[in-house]
Amino acid sequence: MRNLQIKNLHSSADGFEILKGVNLTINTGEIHAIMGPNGTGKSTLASTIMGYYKYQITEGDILLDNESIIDLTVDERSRRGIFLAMQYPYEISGITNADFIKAAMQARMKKGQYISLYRFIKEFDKCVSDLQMHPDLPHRYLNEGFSGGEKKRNEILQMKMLKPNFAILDEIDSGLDIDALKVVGENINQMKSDNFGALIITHYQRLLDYIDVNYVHIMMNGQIVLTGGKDIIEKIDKDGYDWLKAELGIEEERVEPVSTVLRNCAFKSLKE
Amino acid sequence: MIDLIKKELIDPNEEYVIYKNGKFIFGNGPRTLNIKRSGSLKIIHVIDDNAEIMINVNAGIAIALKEVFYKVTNNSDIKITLHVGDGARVDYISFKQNNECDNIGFTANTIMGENSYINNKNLSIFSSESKLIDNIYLKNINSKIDMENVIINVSGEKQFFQYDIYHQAAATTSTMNNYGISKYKSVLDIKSNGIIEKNAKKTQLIQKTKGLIIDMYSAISADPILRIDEYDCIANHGASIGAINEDELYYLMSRGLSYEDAEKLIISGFINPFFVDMSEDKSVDFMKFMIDKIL
Repeated sequence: MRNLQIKNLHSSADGFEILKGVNLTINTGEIHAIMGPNGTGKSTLASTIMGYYKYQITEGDILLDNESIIDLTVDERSRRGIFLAMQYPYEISGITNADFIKAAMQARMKKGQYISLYRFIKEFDKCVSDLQMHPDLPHRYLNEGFSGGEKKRNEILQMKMLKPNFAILDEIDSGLDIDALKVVGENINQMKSDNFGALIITHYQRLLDYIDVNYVHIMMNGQIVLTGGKDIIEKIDKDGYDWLKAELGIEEERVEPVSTVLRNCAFKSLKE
Repeated sequence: MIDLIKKELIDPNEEYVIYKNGKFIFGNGPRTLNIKRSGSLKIIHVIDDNAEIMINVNAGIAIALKEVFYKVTNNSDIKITLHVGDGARVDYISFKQNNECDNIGFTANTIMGENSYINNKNLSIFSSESKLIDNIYLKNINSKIDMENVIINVSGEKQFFQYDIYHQAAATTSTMNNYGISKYKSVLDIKSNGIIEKNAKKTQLIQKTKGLIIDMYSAISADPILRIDEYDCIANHGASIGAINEDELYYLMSRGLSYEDAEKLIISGFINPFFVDMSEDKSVDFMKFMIDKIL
């Protein structure tokens, strides 16, 4: 069993603090869900774990199997078993999906070892079929011309092929229709094992209907403020977050816009 | 040298010729590049002096030409002239490089006949300061050219490339896509001129230049110009130059690729359109190997 620990994590972007002490432990074999109002740091948490260059860790630590990974590069974290399904996957022209995933799988192999092309094609075709994606997918350029739902399914396809130990799924349900939601949810659920754990960022219950979620966390103002079971989701779906803010005495941070003069002829509102 | 060329570039049972400084020295193909029958031909050049190369494609011929400048040494001036006869169709792939010289100059002129068509792909990798000027003359009615140029400058020097397409007759069509890459403090200057002369009615001209700068000390400049002297035509051009997108690098690295491998993949994606629909053979493998080697 492996574990991913987030300890008192603070991170900021452009000098603005977004995560203000996040504490969370995920073990393989567990699926955690994170919910919360917009702008509370959920995606920032996901990106900070992955090592996105725009976020700086100012305090705290991220431990993988009790070893700090905050000094590791993005690719090193990935090769150690962390995967991030992005909220807005990038389109990269000229690189086919198949070539990309093959390169990613090869990157994980020891020097001198090579992927068996036959096995790769077989496994790739099966994953495409499991996710009910179009069979021409391998030959299309990475996410280019994909609908929002196709991009999300492509993230899950990559996850299935790369077999990480920890997957962070950032709003994987956005852009998915009802049928696609079921397919994606079931595929994620099927991966649950002693070698796989997931952190799912979502706003809605619907995806979690298909997934055996062990813990639900609510994030507000850059911190996890409540942890519980699946019953929290129903309450959030029904009543929103106001009851929780009232219960915990949380005032949502409001950033006052600041006016700035730009070259004497224009105004631009900036968040301080 | 001939054995090495055959081993590296020639596939079994294919027609080929080896030229030195524009003169035939070996091969099972025609001794002059006066192409009279349809088919395919591989042309390998060895250059150690100024050279003039004349290629003539007879009317009505359909020919696939793959040309490799295998060894180019000494500071040479190389002139290439291609005549395409009426109704001929040419698929022309050319790989230009130099091996051991301080300075290289290529001048190419293509003259197209009536109802002729060229699908032209050029890959240029020079290891020194260099200059290439390519003029295409759509001299006759209904002539058409689709052109793709990939230029990779990792020499640390300045290189200049100019592509001029002259529409001199009615109903002529040209598309040109340029892909430039600059790395290791190199400077790449790409000029593309589209000229539509008077009475070249119903012509269509489309030109695009894309540049990818790999490091902060390199530069690419694109200077597309349209000179139009005819009202009844369609002409447009565009250029975009930039560095590798950091977010794209992040996305690839988040799947485990190292920075270097992610950069390589993005560059290969940038160049990939050049190799689409190109039939695989030893010369194509050689081109891909050379790209891989320098990038």
